[in-house]
Amino acid sequence: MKKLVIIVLSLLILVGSFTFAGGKQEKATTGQVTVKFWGWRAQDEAVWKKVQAALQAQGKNIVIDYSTIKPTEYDSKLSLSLQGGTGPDLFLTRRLPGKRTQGLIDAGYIQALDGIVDFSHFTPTTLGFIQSGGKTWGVPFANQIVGIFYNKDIFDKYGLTEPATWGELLDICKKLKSNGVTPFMVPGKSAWALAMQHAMVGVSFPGEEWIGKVIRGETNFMDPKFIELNRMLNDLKVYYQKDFMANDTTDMSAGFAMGQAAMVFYGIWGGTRWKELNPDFHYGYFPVPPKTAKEKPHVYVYMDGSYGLNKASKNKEAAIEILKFTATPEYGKIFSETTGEMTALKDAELPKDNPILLEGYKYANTIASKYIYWVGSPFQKGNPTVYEILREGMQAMYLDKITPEELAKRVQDGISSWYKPLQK
Amino acid sequence: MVAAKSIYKRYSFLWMLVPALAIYTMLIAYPFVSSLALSFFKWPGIGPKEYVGLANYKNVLTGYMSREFYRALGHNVIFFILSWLTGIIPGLIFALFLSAGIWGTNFFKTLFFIPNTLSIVIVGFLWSLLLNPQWGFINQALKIVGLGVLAKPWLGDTTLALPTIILVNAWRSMGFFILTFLAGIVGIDREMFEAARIDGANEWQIITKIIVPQLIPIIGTLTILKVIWSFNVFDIVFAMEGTQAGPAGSTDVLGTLFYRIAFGGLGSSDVGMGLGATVVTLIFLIVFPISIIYVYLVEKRTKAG
Amino acid sequence: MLKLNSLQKSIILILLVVWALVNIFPLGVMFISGFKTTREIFMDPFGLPKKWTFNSYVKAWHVANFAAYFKNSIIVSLVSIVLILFVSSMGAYVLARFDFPGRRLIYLYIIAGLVLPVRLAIIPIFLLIRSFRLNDTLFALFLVYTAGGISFSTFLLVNFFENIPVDLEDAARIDGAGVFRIYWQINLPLLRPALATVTIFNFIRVWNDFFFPLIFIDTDAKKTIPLGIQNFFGEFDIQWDLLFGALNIAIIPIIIFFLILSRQFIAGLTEGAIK
Repeated sequence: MKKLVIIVLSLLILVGSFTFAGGKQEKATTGQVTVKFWGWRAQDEAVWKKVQAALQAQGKNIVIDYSTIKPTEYDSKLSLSLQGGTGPDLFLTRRLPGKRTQGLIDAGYIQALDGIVDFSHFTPTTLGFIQSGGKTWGVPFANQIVGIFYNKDIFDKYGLTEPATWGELLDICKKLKSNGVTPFMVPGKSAWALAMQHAMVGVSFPGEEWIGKVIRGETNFMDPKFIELNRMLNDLKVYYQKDFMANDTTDMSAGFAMGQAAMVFYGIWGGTRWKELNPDFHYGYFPVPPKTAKEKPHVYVYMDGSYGLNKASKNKEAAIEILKFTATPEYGKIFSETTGEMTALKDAELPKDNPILLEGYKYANTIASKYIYWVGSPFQKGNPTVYEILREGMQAMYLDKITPEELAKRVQDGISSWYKPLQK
Repeated sequence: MVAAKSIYKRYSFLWMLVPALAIYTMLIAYPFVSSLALSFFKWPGIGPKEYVGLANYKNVLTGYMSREFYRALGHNVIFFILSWLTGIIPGLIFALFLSAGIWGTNFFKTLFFIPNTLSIVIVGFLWSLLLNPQWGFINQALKIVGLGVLAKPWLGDTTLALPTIILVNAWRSMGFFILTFLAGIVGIDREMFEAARIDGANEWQIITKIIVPQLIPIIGTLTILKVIWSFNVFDIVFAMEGTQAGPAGSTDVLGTLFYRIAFGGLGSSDVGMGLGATVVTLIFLIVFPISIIYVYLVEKRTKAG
Repeated sequence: MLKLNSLQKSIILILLVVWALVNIFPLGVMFISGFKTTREIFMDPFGLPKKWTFNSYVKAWHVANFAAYFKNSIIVSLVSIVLILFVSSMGAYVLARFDFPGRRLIYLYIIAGLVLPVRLAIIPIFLLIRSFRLNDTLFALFLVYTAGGISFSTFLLVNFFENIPVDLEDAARIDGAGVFRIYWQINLPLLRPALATVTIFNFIRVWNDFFFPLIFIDTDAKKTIPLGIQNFFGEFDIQWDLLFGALNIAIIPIIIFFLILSRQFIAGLTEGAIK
């Protein structure tokens, strides 16, 4: 008992010293407003430091307190804290149409920004991904491009070039494998990335025209072409790293950047991560090749998300200042330079020293698929969404729990349960 | 008047019971009742509630949520069975070892208990690093000693993931079982051993005929605790597989299912506080009868002791 | 207790050592890895660090708000435990010493909480805390932890009170002391061993809890250690040196604390089950 009392006393002293130590850091200058900002993007930390500096240079005494939450846990934590009546002042929102953001809008947690922020530097297409009910619910931040990224040093070593057809891609895989190099690092544990992989291959085969037909109901997901796509993916898994179903995107990034695999199916945003892990890393990008040389490759480009404003925010004025700034070309420049991603602002100055980014812009402007499934598609508007079905379905197929045909059937059954054009 | 005053005086000590009673009622008893009531409503957490009768129960038990629900329930049952086998039996064996009066017993006792003092999430995070297929210590060690074939994707395989999580859980809680059993063994009257020895019993017979029967009440209590814990498991799955409880939902338990339904986010077919309350009520209906037995046993034993 | 020959004893000793290694190994790996760089952890998992530096500890301590996490965990534990000890021992005293209508019923009502897992009632608790506007405050945690500790503590203390002879109170009563004073001055000191058990039991429960902070706390500066660690793992998922550093920071103090008080810890945690 005596020991216990001594320990309690020493704990109290410890608390006191922490409070003292903490007190020094937290001391705020007068008139300073701290805006709490949540996101799922760890790479944005540096962006907000620069924005804060830019705003302070304009004489606005605003501090941005940005914190990252793991992407897969982000949405529940955000909705939980908004429901609790607290929550951050600003937060990242997913694109529309989508249940996660629509749910928050419907519950009245997000403030519409029409008339508050000047949206003239965005294209209507970009803005369309964050509008619903005739209102704009956030400031878009990036257009993402996804595809295959490869390790240039490995490709050079084995004299490989970017493939033009799926067959050539398989040849590359064969050659790498016979040399003991793992062709692909795939994050089987991150179900969302598998759904993304499916969707990015889908725009090149069966291709955008076919997707357009499904959307209009002229064919459906039981189409032999869709089944073939599933089979192509399933057959490709012999070229994935051993035990790929236990790896998540973190492992994938580490393995790719450290040269343990030659290629990944991923998005342009991965670059910051890879360079951080291995500053000498040389990588390139190519769109997923189509089946034959007759067809054109396409890339999957989508608006990633936006900055939303908490309707109950106590620091609205300062938060709006930040949002206004994020709608200017100056911000677009900061964003692209810092993250290496394509800013959502149409007239921002592009960083010249980032070839991958410039290449991404080139593809996005020339061969972006007109029709897509997965995020941003009409198949996201009902319940269940194509995203949900593919997430679990891809894992199940890769684990040999279901066949490529059964995956197609799952998609068809799930979507046709609510999507009118497919109910014929 | 006088009578009222004397009654007041007679029971004036009752105020000392009020704080405990008030806090307990407000934050435990009332929420349980309220949760039950909420399960009859459709409610996203804000705005008006819509009375839907038994619709939530229908959706969960036979409707579109039923696949997820029964899958999760099944995993809770597996969790109970496997964690009983990996907890109670080795716990009892090690307790017997420690009761043999071997050198260093106190040292082992302390050491075995260390994992139990750690937070479950922290244990989960530690082990998920150790079990990483490429860089985790476990697989790297297996490869080095030539057992590379045993290097599995522990947390990425639909059949291995749940048992792996259960083993990690067993690693953390073993000390509790060992020391609880040990306390039970130490509490057995030594004269029973001596009497048995005089009758010619060997040590094995002492274990099976005296010690184990004497420990039956403790085994019963621990089994009930295991049931309660197994149906409430959340932290360790959350730490090792996230709220989506992958791969392909193969580690989804009622706790993670409930969290997704009640508070939203990625990976649930539907969300809502009312639906969440329904899942909670169902968990409660499973656990409660078993819990009643526990209270009864505990009560009986304290009365006897 | 058991009489064994030396062969049996050696086999048992070997098995005990094996299990001890299983217990220690993961913690040892964690400890050593905390001194390595990420590259060393990945490429040379069995080697000792080339340079023993505290870099990852220092960095982890700085990038995350560990001082705040520790402070919060300590405050939440202390306040909750003091509240539990106070309200439960008062309540237990009344329930054990006095006879009044409904006594038995109230006692059963309270110990029913032994088997109501608090987190099952999280939705109404969440709504209640929200209506008090206590979301994102440590008060929310004080309240739920205190509420969650009352049943077990009252149960244990009632049993203990019943073993303290009533005669001790008589002298005080003759002196005209009030009920509260008798409880405070005479009974409480005698209750110390039981209070220690209650303290340890609740300390472990509160200190290690993850679920309630996950639900209630948003602000980084208000997080407790388990929630802080969870956040840290989301943010620095690939920097294994930092992750191991953070795990060490979170785990080592509690292990030291346990080693100092191991007897009380073990009693506190096992008592409930075999009582």
